[in-house]
Amino acid sequence: MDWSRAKSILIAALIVVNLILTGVYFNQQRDKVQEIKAKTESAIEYIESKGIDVVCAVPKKTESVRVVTLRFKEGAIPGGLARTVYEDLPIEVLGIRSSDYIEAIQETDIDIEVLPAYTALLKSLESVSGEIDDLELIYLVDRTAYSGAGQDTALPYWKVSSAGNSYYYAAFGE
Amino acid sequence: MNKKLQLFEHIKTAILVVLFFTTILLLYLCLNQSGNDFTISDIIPGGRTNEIIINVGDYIKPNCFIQSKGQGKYNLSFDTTGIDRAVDECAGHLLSSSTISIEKSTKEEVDKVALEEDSIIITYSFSYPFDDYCKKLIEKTVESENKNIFFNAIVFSDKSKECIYLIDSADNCYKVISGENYYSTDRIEKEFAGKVFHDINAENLDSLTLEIQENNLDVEPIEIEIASEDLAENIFGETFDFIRKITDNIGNETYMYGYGEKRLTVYVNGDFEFKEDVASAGESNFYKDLETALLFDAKAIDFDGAEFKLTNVKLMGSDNYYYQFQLENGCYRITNEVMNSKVSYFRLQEY
Repeated sequence: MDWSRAKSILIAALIVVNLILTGVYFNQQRDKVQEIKAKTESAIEYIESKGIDVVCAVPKKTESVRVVTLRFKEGAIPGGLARTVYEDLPIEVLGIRSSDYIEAIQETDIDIEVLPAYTALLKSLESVSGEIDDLELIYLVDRTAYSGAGQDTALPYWKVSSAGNSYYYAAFGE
Repeated sequence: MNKKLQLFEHIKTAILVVLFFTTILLLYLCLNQSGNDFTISDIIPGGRTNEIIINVGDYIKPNCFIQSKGQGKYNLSFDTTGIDRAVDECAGHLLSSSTISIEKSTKEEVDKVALEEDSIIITYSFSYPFDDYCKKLIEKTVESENKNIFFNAIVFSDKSKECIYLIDSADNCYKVISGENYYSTDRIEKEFAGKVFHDINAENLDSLTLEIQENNLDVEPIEIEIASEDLAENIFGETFDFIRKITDNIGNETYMYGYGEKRLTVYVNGDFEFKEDVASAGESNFYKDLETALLFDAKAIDFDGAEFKLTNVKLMGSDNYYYQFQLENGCYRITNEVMNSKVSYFRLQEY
């Protein structure tokens, strides 16, 4: 058996297979982006057909965000963390008492694939009327049931603003 | 020249290996993208494949049986091998009568029957739901009002073979079931051969209960090592990473899956509690629900040879019933609630 020749043939075959797989992979990526773009445009059309105007920009790309944990402290804010933004995403905390504050933000090693923005638009149909002023991706922590000191996980949510009201829709899961 | 050729061949081999792994990687990326449930472990074998097998029958066997010798003397045995089958046959024979009556009895009446010579008392470590017991034996329920009849002891009388007595000591409730199909206690006595008996004396059921407790060989407590991350991973499965973790000011940790419909709390005192929002519609079935609870428990905490005993059963709810089970092993107590064939509540406590 001429192993040298066999290796050469295998190398050539694997190069061809890899080129095909690379093409398939990039096609899939492109199709995914186009699919989301098309679905976003359909969603906007559908919402506007229901009498709700979308006056803000709607993101047409998906992204991954890193899950973060927040450490809360009770008491007044001496030099407690003033920033409420992490990696360009605003952090909102629902139900936090005025006497509590965010002491620290820690990154986990968990990345979450964010659901496309159009999913939040469609979910907002139940609650919104008039026009949608803003749609942004934020980190949200709901402390309504867990006030006081401790740690909690901030997860990505889509925040839909309409007529001065805010609606939050989970940007993770199915 | 030879050396150059050799070097060239080595380079070719290295390129081949790299291309091979690149192909694997590209396949993984492409199949993952297309939404298939494909992991590297699908082509590189390995990982946990252990299947959990639970035999519900092991948990619902009688705790002990006692045969009366008359005049307050009894033979007591904790070896109930074969006894459960014999009991089911005798009770099933009576319950399959064309006409069954279920009436209230009194403690005094049952005391009197228990004292009679050759009466046999079968006890359970938990409250057995009579409705489900009937369905198991005769594939139908006897009366619609029996949903709330439980028993933890059955008395078979050698003198009154047309009836059996049910005792629910938790609620101090006594029932007599009568039918025209007579059973024979000989069937139960057939299983006595080779068993170890304790001679005891008792004037009535209360003192009999004390004697049972004094002679009882409880399951040997075995401590189990439980790591909270292992428990959470066993309950939530492979997507364990994908959850919210909350730590309160005392140090209790709560893990939430999805949008909070599943929650596991690890308390600083070592207890674990799991809750899942379950739609309440659905029929309860004692045996299926117990199996569901046991499978959940075995998966969550890997019994590792530790023997758990079923110590309490309650039927909860009003319109939609669901079962609550309690298991103990001398070190730990597990409480499960099963609703709509799913475990909606689990608590593991150390005591």
